[in-house]
Amino acid sequence: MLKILGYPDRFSVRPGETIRFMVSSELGGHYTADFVRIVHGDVNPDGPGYKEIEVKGPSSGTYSSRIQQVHPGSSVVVADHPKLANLSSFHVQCMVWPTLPTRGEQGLIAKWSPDRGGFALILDETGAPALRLGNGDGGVQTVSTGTPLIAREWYRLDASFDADKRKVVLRQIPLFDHPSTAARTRTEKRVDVVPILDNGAPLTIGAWFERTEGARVITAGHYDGKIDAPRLLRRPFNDTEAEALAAASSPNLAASVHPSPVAAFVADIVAAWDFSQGIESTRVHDVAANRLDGTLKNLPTRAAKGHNWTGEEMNWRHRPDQYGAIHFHHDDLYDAGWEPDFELTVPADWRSGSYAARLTCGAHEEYIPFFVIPPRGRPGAKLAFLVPTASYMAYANEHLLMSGEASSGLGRLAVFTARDMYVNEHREIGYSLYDYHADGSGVCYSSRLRPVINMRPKYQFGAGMVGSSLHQYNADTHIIDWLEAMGHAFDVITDEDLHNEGMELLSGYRAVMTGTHPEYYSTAMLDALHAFKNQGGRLIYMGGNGFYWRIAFHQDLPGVIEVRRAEGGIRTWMAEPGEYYHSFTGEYGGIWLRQGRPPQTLCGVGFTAQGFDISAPYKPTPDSRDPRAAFIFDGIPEGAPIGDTGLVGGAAGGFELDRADRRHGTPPHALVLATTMGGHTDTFLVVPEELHITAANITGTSSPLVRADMVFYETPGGGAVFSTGSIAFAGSLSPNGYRNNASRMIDNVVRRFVDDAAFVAP
Amino acid sequence: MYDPAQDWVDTYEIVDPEGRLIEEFRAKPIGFRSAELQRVLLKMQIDPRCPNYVLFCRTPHKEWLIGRMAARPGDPVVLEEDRVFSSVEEAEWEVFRRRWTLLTGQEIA
Repeated sequence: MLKILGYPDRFSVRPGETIRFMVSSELGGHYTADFVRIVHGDVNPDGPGYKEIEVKGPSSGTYSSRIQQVHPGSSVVVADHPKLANLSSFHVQCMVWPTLPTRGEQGLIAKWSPDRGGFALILDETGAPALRLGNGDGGVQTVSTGTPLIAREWYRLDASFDADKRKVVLRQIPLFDHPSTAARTRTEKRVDVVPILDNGAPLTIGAWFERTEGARVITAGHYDGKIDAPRLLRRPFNDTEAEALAAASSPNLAASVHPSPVAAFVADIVAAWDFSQGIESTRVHDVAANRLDGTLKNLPTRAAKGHNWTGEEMNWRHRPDQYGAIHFHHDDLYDAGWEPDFELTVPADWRSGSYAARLTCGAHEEYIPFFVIPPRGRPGAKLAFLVPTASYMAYANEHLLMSGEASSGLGRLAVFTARDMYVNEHREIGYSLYDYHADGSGVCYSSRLRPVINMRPKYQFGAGMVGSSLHQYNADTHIIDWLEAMGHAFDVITDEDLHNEGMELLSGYRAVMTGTHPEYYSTAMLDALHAFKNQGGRLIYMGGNGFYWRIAFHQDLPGVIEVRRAEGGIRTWMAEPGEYYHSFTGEYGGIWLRQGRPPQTLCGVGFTAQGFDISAPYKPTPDSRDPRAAFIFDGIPEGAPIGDTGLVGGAAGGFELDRADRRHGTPPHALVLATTMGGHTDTFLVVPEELHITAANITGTSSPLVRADMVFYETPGGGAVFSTGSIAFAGSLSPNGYRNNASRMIDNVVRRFVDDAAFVAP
Repeated sequence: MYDPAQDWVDTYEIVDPEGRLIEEFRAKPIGFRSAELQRVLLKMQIDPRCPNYVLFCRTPHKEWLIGRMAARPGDPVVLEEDRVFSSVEEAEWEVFRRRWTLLTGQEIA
């Protein structure tokens, strides 16, 4: 198992800038850190073999091992405040939609201190709501309704403590109407314990407070499910008052200038948090007079349907009042929050490239990849290799093959490595955008601020086709290695740079080359590539299933992306109806095809089928003989297959495939130079968004839609596009010492695409 | 609540009196397959009587073990350490043999 892990505070860094590395080591003693340039991450003995080049870094050296913990679980934290502390009697109210009510004790709303003082409205071991009171001196008492909540149903909970009468009242009111289960409960009990709310602890929602570590708040008892409209009052409310309070929308609570049902007791409101405000942010707003705002920890899911969602509106921006819920998960994680162990200020003489901090301790090793991009506005080459780091983040620590659903589509057994075993057993390091939370809800946020176990040189992916069995980071090193071997000068730039800097990042390059699977694209990223293509730039798309899902980056938090798996597409989970809009930006989620911007409009091809066993060679089409394509086929015998051997599935066309399609926007003058049609097994299946009715002809031996098409076309301003349309293609570049038809073809394309001479459209 | 899905896997019966499907898989565990063999393999993958087998690559491109996914997410994969396979295809064949026996009651020599 893995004993030493780390992550950087950024994926890309410019010369002169500083990157920090966080490390946790269970090995004791010291570990050595040095730096390498990663050239070829594939250890397949049938290929060129693993290649890394040591580079001298000013911070190479030895460092002390220490264990750093990951604390998953999301919550809201409201700093302690006299208004929260100076309470004797109180009343808490909230709407809840639990998803794992019997998982164990879970905190809903709490002001609870490590010495067990305060209050905590919880779900108890049985899944029933309970109010726990503690005096901070050993006295703890818990009153439960004794009626477990039903998962995925809305309830209103009211819990009050009357200090004068030493009485707890709990009300559990189902908002649903299943006749056999919709029972209201009212529990009233005298207690001996007087809770101490002046306990120095913050108020927490979705967990209870455990301790602080430096500036970090550590929470425990994390809840799975939604909470909506939590409110705290300074006295017990009777049934009628509680009913009126629950019916009040936030404007009534914010001010009492207008007559309202709650005007009479506005003064009793300590806090009323309205989660429908500031959905794009990490703030939680108290709309009552005290403004006891909170902050989010570990990114619970926002823009979630509230208890009052009617279904009339699907966009949370149009009716935010119906999206006042936050969905908490005990396995949410944004930032592992480790302390830096060492840092690197990148020397000015380091060339742009793919690098890693290499950690070694005895027989153990760890690589922490990062990318050195060129100084701003000063490209070092005419060609940029655009590293698909957003897609790396989307797949970070994926558990795709650990569920029967995904692995049954392979047509063979999933193959795990020690890294996969670690990911399986250490759920605390968080999930990918392909995974489910433990409560069955889809994971819609993924960050890079945690160890990304599967984004490492030498890593093999269990569904990565027979042969090298690679995906993403390592598969992309096939391209980097080829560029080095062929002597092409290039810079590397990353998705996050493209999102942040847009067209400015690209404008100095004559050509941009993608990785094997640039699947996840933000609006800004897509806009920049379109602008580049339309202003004379040249785009070499070296992959498959690219430009597919729309993602959003967070406006404040670094290194986190969001996907909403709306409508269609290859999806391991589906967004809840009514939750198709990104919480980070308000943009509609889903695949770009469903948003009127199919990949074909950018690169001429778009996702059409996938399979995970063997690849197929490309056969030239009549378009290959068009004089416009002569430069592409220069040196290749007429009619010869392209990529009839390769490290990824044995040929160039495989894994995920793209096809040209006029209806999806492939330009009318595009040349479809070659295709793999007819070469795929029945494990290759047409993507669901192309199926209008269910039919039997959707597999590799039955459907003309199962194919990769190779496309070339000219763009305005003297630019051009060349697309391979297959994830497996890059694996065909190195066979026979890089002397083969696929390598020759890409060499022809790169040489012409970095040439300043304008392409002329027909 | 009755779940009809529990019963549906029994509606397809594997029939191979001449052993052609077995020989087809043995000759090529991964790649193009006849429609009948493809159907058998799909049944093997989803029939709840068959363990959720995976392979564990202990040494890259050299050594593979058979493993079974645990029922509860996050629990360790149960590895069969006593038998090491030198290719994915060999391990695939062993798993096929086991599943065949489970579903048909017939041992493959």
